[in-house]
Amino acid sequence: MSETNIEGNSRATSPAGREPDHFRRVMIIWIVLSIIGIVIWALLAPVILPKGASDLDGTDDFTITVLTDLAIPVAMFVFVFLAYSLFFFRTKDRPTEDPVPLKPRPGLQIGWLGITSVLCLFLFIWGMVAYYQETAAASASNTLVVQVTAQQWQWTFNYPQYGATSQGAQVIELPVNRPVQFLVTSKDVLHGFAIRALGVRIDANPGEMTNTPVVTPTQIGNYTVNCVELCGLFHSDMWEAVNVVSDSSFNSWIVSQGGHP
Amino acid sequence: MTEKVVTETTTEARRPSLIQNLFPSVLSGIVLGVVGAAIAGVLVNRITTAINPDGVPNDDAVVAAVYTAWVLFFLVGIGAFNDVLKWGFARRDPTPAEELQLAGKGQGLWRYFRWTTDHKVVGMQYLATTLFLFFVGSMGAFMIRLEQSRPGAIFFTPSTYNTIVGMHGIIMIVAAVIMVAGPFGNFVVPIMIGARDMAFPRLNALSYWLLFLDIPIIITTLALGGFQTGWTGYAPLSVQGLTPGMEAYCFFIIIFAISTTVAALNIISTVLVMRTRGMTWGRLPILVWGVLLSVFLSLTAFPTFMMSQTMVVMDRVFQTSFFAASYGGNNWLYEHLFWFFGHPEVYVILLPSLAIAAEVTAVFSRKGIFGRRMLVGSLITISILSVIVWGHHLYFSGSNNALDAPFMLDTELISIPTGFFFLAMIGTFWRGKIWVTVPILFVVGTLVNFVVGGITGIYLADLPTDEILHGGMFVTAHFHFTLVGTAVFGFFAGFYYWFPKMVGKRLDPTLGQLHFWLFEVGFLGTFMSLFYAGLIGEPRWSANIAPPFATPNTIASLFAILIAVSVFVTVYNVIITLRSGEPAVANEWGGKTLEWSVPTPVPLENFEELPVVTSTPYDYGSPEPYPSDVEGTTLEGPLLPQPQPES
Amino acid sequence: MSTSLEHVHELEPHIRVGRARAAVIMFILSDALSVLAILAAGGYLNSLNTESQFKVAGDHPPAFLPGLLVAIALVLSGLSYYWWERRARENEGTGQAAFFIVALVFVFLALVGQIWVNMSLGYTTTPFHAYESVLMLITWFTWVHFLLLTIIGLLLLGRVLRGRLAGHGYIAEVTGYWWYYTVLSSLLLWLFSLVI
Repeated sequence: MSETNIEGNSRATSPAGREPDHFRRVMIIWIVLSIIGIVIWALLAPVILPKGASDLDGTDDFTITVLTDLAIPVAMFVFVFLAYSLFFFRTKDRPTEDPVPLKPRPGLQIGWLGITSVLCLFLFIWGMVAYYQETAAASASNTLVVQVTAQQWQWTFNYPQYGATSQGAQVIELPVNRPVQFLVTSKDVLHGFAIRALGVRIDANPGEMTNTPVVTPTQIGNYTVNCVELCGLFHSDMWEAVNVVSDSSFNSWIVSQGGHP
Repeated sequence: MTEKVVTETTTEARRPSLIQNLFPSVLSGIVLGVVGAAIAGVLVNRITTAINPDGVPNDDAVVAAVYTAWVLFFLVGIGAFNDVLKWGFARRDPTPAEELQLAGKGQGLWRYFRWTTDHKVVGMQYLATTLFLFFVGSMGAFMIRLEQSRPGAIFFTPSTYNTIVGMHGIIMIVAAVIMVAGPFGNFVVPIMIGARDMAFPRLNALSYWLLFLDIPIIITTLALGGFQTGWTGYAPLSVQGLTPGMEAYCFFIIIFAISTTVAALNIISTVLVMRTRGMTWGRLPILVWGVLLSVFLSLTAFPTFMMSQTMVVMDRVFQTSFFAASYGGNNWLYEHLFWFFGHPEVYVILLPSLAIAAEVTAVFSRKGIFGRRMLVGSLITISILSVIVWGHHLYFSGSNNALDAPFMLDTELISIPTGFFFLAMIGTFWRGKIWVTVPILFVVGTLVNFVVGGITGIYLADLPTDEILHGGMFVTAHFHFTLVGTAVFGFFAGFYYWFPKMVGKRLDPTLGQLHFWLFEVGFLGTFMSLFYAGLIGEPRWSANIAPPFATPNTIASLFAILIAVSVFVTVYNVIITLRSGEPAVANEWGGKTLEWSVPTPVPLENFEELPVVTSTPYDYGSPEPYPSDVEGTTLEGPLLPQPQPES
Repeated sequence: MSTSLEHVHELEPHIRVGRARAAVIMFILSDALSVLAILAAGGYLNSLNTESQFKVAGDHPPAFLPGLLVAIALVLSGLSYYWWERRARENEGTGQAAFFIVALVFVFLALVGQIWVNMSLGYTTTPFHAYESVLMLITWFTWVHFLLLTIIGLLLLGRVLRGRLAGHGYIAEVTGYWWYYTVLSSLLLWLFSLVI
């Protein structure tokens, strides 16, 4: 690429004597730090990211991992060039003469635009493919439907296929490994229905019914559903439990809520 | 600081008396405004009580009337309409002496408290107001961090907390919109393009005083019960009865939209027609490009914001139903209107700061901006793209799923011109002679923070990741990295850079460095913790932090203490500098843009003779100290002092 | 250009013309976006028809005849202004001021007419449905703009009567931009209110 041009320029215009090859130094530092960064992220990611509990969440978390892997070298590039410049090109006090201006490098600029465009296109295609995979999942015949009604400041959950309403302490019980879809609406203002662990999120709009993609919980466990759209006084208290349980536990829970399995 | 009147003989300038200074002034504006507001309030109270079958007044109508009357009567009181009437009905055009009187000649410090047309006065007024708004907004921020430092609702009721969050948000947003275009767009840009004032000096004063009278409006929300919606003012929550404090927010926006539109008209006209000879578009300093593009964007963005708030006021006062589902309204309408404004608005905030970063880097690296022309092209591209990406705020609203893909594409495309900005900056630093001063420190902070802010924007732009991050603290951390870490740091770079020219004194550089390091370390600590909180699922706007999120929030609150200290360090620095700071020289930094070629303090007429520009202000490495030529002579004389060694 | 403090605020004629044109065009752009926002809001709510409550039985547009009269007054005002403005520019004088006064009178009539339309919308039950809300907004928006135009026209009339327009023909020209814009955008809003 045209990085070699800068390198050549620096050699050609430096005063007599051996001036260090700044550009090569920077590139080496950049590569080393990027590798270290990626390794650290590979070690940290499983610790930082919550355990995914659904197929969707797994894809989303994987996308975060990949994005970060791409982000580290990009960020390092800027940091390393900045830090290097500040250390090696700084003057003690106010400079008394100007440095030699860099030659204009249209090739470098075009090349840079080219690389960033390719990166951008990659991100876009990845995002589209991942999202298409998630949302185009056809409803299997045994998809569980949960109706969610949001109001200030609580959630209500209905299981229309079973004639059950989650009474008393509002919770969502879900059988593991069975596709589920949430149909969401609101009674008053805008709310945001989000189950982080399952990777689903959709707004609850008054007067409209919106649905999440079909998601399949894959891990038994206890999670939470939060409200993620400011809805007034007790917005941050608007969270309930989401329990992913075995089929038999689910069936007995349905019966206990007044429904028929 | 008093301005030396350059010539006393050519214009008949008598020292005005105290009465002449007071009427009209901000004092008469406030008095008349309060009186008018009170009368309107009582009137509408009586009228709505009489009309209403229940016999109770329409509180929202009363508040709306109070605010409207406050605006009109304040403007009358400060003399804003005097010139309008004179334009139409006077027998003659204003004399030069009258124009100079309006521009504040001979009034000393009073001119900052009156309807003054001199762009430098307006610039200083904006600077003082910006700093005030930042101070108030950051007090709100510290209260938020205090409340969020531990789980449970600790210090504030939910209603108070939501109001604090909303006020912090909207005050900071307003401050960020005006922070560069207001102080520097007004003070510096006309001088930079070789003009003696803005195209419309009176409109300049109008845009400032509209902002000034707007501030009590948002403060009064505290007396009216506050507002629960946060800075985005989402309907239908904003239409719910509760308290009339919501009107404060709506009117704050409506008036601000008018102020910004007036300022935008002025700046655009100025840059279009008032450039001096030789100042072609190709030689325009990058700051001017940044401010110009920013205000042009705001011109296109604010009308929908204003209409959205008008509709909210109508829903509240007159029971219309733009946003009430049971009567055919829909909250998606609000979201579209708001975000059609809201996204370009962040670029309104960002572009001038990026321009400052480029401007300052060139001066302190003693090198021309690398890839300058393509940088300008990038800024233009960012402006255009920013208008068509608003749907990424609506990915999970449930509306228009088919448009998600095009919006995602547009949003990610913005990263290309933004990436070019980084190339330009790196190329300018590279192999320069970098003089590390406080302005350049803030530029470095801007760039470091922008890397994080920009990259995390990609996470939010991508549909699969936004699915788990939207509405969470990750979003909060992202926009703080871009709006504060990038834009506000860029503002401070400009602040330390132009303060010697605007005020004529030197800020203490040690305190400036302390400000930077405290701010940057505190900022990184606070918002990196909040990124983590967002990754693990903490929602936004949490008055009551759930226990799983306690640790990152406590860490964030501890780091926020550093930011708080940095605020007080800066306040102290400004105060002691104003009292007893060292006087600055005309060209403090050796810059080549035209503002450094005029004396400090800048005389009322800016230039004794308007310069003729012959090159860009970035031709470092050439023997000419300034890019302008005075009538073909070589560059000598009192107009163009050479950079002096420290005395 | 000028070299002393006294001439700070003197501007060359071409700069005065340029800044006036730029400002008015920007202002028109800004206001046009408000108009677009209203049209988009009406169309969007109509297409969403949330809970089938956008328009209910009994909802009707404003009475046709008064609206038509207002529209006619507007068009006549615009034509009259155009007649005046062309002459004023040609002579660099005040043209035939009578035509300007006629234009202003028509605007004032349109203002009165539009306020009357507003008063007689006949929507009674609150909360108003979305359709009624949109029409109320359009009606208010329109007469507020007529009021603004009346005020601008009065100011300009002052200048004309004081003889301070001669040599400043560009003022008539750029005011004309705003005048025609008000006429056109108001007509557009009126037509929209009939079809939505």
